[in-house]
Amino acid sequence: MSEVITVSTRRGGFQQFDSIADEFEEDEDVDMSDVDEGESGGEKSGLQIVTPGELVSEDPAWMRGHGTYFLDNMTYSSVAGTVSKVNRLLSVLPLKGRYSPETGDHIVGRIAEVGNKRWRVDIGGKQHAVLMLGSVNLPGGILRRKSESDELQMRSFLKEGDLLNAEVQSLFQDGSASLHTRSLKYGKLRDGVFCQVPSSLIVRSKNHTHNLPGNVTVVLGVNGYIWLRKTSKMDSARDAPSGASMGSTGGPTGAKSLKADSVSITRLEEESSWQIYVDENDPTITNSVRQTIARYANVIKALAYCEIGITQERIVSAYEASMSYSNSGSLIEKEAMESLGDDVLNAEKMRGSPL
Amino acid sequence: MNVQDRRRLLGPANARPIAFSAEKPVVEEPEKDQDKQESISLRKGLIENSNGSSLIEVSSKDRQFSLMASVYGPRALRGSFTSMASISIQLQNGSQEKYGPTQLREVATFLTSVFNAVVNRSRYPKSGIDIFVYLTYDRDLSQSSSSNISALIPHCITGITLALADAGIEILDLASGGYHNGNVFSFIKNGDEITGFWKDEGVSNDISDSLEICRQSYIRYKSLMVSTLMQK
Amino acid sequence: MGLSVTEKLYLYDSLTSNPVVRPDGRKPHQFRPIEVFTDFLPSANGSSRIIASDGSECIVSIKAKVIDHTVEDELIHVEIDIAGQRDDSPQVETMTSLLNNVLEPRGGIDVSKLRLTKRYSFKIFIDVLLLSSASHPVSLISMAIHSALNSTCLPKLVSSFDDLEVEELPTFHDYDLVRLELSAPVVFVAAIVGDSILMDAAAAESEVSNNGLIITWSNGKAISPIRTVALNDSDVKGFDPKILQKAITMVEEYAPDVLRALNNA
Repeated sequence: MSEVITVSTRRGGFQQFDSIADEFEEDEDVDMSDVDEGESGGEKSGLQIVTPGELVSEDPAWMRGHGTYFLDNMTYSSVAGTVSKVNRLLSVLPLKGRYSPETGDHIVGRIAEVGNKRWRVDIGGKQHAVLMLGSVNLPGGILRRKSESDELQMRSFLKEGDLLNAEVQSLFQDGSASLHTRSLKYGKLRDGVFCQVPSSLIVRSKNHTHNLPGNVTVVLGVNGYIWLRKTSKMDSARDAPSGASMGSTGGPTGAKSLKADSVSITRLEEESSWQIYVDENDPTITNSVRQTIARYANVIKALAYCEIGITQERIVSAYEASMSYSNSGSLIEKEAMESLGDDVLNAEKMRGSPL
Repeated sequence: MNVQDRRRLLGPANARPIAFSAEKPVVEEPEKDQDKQESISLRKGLIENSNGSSLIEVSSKDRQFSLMASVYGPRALRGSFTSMASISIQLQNGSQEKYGPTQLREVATFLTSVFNAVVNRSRYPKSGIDIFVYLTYDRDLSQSSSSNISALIPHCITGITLALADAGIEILDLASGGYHNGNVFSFIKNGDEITGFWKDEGVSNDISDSLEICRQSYIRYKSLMVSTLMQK
Repeated sequence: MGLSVTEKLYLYDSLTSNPVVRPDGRKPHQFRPIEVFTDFLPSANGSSRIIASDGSECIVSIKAKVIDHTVEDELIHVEIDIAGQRDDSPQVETMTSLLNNVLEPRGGIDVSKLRLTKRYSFKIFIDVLLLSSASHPVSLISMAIHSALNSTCLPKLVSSFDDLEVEELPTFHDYDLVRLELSAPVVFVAAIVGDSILMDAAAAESEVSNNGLIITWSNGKAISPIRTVALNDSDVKGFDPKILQKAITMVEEYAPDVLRALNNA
């Protein structure tokens, strides 16, 4: 293998039937692991995979949910995916596709447009999400009213291209999302790099911000947008197992006072100054932290390449496995990504706990 | 009366025919350079209805040519927000039709990237600056086959810079360039920074030799530009 | 794709730090892996398809025609089609002009191999279709042209070489083909970020680069055309004259490895 470039070749660009069959089996393996994660809250008897046009049910009593259509009292699937039956609702969850937001999702998005009293945010869904001016913390603290001057200087808070993490506050009738960043864990992202994986690989969980070994923090957006950054003071405070500060959390927005400066200023007041919208990175990011972040980014891309669901445990385990490559740049090769994926799955089997 | 004629390609309603101002006295005396026998004359502000314009006439022992640059703008851009001015440069053949359209486009793209680094674009958000360069006259006296467009590029850069300065558009420095042995360099900041490099012929060995020669011509063109701009 | 200010600052600081930290951990001279398919179009004399790891993809077909070279002297013609762009868009025209220049006979390409007889030659038509590209596509296109020309086979000449006296057209063998061994120059794009030089810049790296250099390489050395190119719309700046020579040296050092990998694939 060359250090400079690898060029692989295949004769003819047409797939063979047996190779398709192989891939199909692999797919099924992946889906079986999905069952364990309880992604489909429906029947426990077994996972049914359907393709578009396939008859799902002849029983007209079912309510038809997403991914299905109704013809002559029979329900057909309109997407390729797994059947989900919740109470009387029958729907098909697509295996692949764009992210569909749900209330409460922790997402990472990029400002696409600055509009009248609102920002439009690209979250990788069917439509852009909306972030209202009233749904963000403005400089000056929570008790401050938004004024006309805020409307005029919206671009000085967030402008096109800016990345932020936010929570889906509610959904509109057409399925598009309304976001809010009214908590200190949300807002403009800095000190790191962005990477993107298919949203189906991110499992919804209680916590989507994780501190990883090597002084790096990851924000796993449910929409598949991921932010890797140097662990900030706030990040380490969040994980610190301190009894005092945990007890004294005040405020409806999850504001948390740091032990060090809990004298009288709450974090929120301090953070809600202009600083939360400043376009500057931490000047103390060292070269080794940058290298660690690059390695994590490659590890996440490798997991996505192997279509392995991305969780904190797997990122850490893959990161440890990747240490056998001294140069993290070797991880862009397909073979390296595949063997890394195998390592992660094997390690999980050895431990015997599929999460 | 809001019936619009959509059948013909019409110019803007307030278009005026091109008008030249009556023989302005801002004529730079042709400067003789002994070693190269190249004389150059620069003028600015010739085209009245542009925001800025310049004319360059060059005569050396094997080539004579002149080109005209005109700048229109900055003007408001419609559509989505842009934080910097967008520059568009078009090169046009004179009556001789000497160069192919794709070649002119490539040079125009190159010039655009040079001027993206020269114009202080962040001062003009949501605006566009249109620059037109007409290669009005180009005659090769040497009869050699090397009648290429590369040798014109430094003069295009000089002409556009002068026209931009004439239009009062903020630029970071007076950009100009030099041509030697098929190598074209575009400089700013006294030759400490390259804003563009173009090479269409020859191998790469002679680049460092050409660098110094091109820097000399850059400094010469720049001082000419300065004296042209100082004249009122 | 627009990046946020902080992303750009972080990237710029990483790429200009010592040692250079690229967002995917590559070394400054390291390329991303590519996949090559050759000789898959039945109706063309040669073809290739290159897929880069970021999803950029390019298809090239080579067709040949017998012409009288005493009448027409252009023996190689490149036509470029970029998906989603008009034929007269600046990007298409610039790319066409550049690649026709790369494949000019005075450059690194030996057109005598196209000579059939004293009067007739093959004229090669290279059709490029760029399906998608995330960063500057010229390197990918030129690699695709290179491997397409490597896979090209042309009909074998059976008539005599000297046909100036006799007025006859060249005749060819019914099914025997001869491999055309025409080694096309390969174009490299080096991104300049501060004082760092990066080969094969990814989209995000191009977004923060101050300038770019297009360097043509053939038979062991850098040849013309060489030129600067803006890799983005917002951060174009001048650079130190020393970088120019450094970038050319870098291409000359690593291009043989790339060519070897490309030819052995």
